[in-house]
Amino acid sequence: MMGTPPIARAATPITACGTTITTPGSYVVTKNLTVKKTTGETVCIGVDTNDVTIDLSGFTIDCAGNESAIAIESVAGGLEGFIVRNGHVTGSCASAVDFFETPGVLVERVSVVADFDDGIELGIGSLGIDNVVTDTSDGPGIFGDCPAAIIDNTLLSNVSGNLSFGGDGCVFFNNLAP
Amino acid sequence: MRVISAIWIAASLIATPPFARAATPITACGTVITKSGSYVVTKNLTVKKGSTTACIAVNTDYVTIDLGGFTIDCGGEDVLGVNVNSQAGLIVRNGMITRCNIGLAVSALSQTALLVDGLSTISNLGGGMSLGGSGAAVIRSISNDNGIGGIFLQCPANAVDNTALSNLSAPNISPIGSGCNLFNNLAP
Repeated sequence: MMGTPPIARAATPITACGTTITTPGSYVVTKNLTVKKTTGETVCIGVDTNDVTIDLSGFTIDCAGNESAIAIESVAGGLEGFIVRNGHVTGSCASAVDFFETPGVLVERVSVVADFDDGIELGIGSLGIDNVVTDTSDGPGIFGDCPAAIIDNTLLSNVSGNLSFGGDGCVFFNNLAP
Repeated sequence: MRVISAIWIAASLIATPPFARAATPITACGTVITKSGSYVVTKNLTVKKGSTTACIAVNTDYVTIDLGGFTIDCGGEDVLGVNVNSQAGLIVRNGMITRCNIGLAVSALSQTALLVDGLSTISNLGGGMSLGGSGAAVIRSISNDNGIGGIFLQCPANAVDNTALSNLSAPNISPIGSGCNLFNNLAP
């Protein structure tokens, strides 16, 4: 009895931009988040460790017009194993989800509207599924570093292409990306 | 032993960080959402007899509604289940809407990033889902036995892995315009 925890440990709440995750685990956004810095590079949620899940929990990250801001980013090289799901990103971010150099990430059911540069960037061996990305002004809706799987996404009106990739071996299946 | 366990449980509760803020609960029909955020239905919702307004109205951008597995039942009243008048960023998921005029109605002004996931619209008087504005994605949803069609889509839009059956007076899935992607749907 004494060795059994009475309550399963909950996900760690994220309540503000400027959060850097340094411990593997499960994290949940619990309110709309707005980037405070109006100009210059800044990251709302930075990931600096392996094996992290971020549930946006239906909330929105708003870059508030800072075209150098990144909503969610891997802030170091050599990391892997991220999951991001279930929410919105908007407000002219430089990138909504920047995992370009991060292998093995899953991004699902995220809506991205009106990013300044890229929508969702995925590293090798990643999966992007059921996302909706529209109206980026200067970058692709989803970029995949191949091999990666990009499936069932809706990508529209992204100025530099709805779907972009580098390398060989990507799987693109059933995306709406005219 | 029992006392020690109780103390240990109490200490654990104190040590558990509280959730700062969760999704906003929706507990009754007549809810109008005017603030961006995450909302969750926490019980079955029933439209009152004689009501003239939607059970849930969305009048702002970037909103997520999780029906929480519950049902919106309009009881045959001539109202909408969920009525969306926003421009961008809507997610509706995980529940049922029945016996409304239209289950999920998105106005033609709504444009970008609408995701419908795991929604059942059954036996509505008009259509199951009427999604005006292009750029919608409907996945893993069901729309059966509605009076005037199952799922209406303004193309380009994406409909994947849905079931739409026995809808009267209009096709089970109705793409309007060109450029829709319909894949792996059961919609004879």
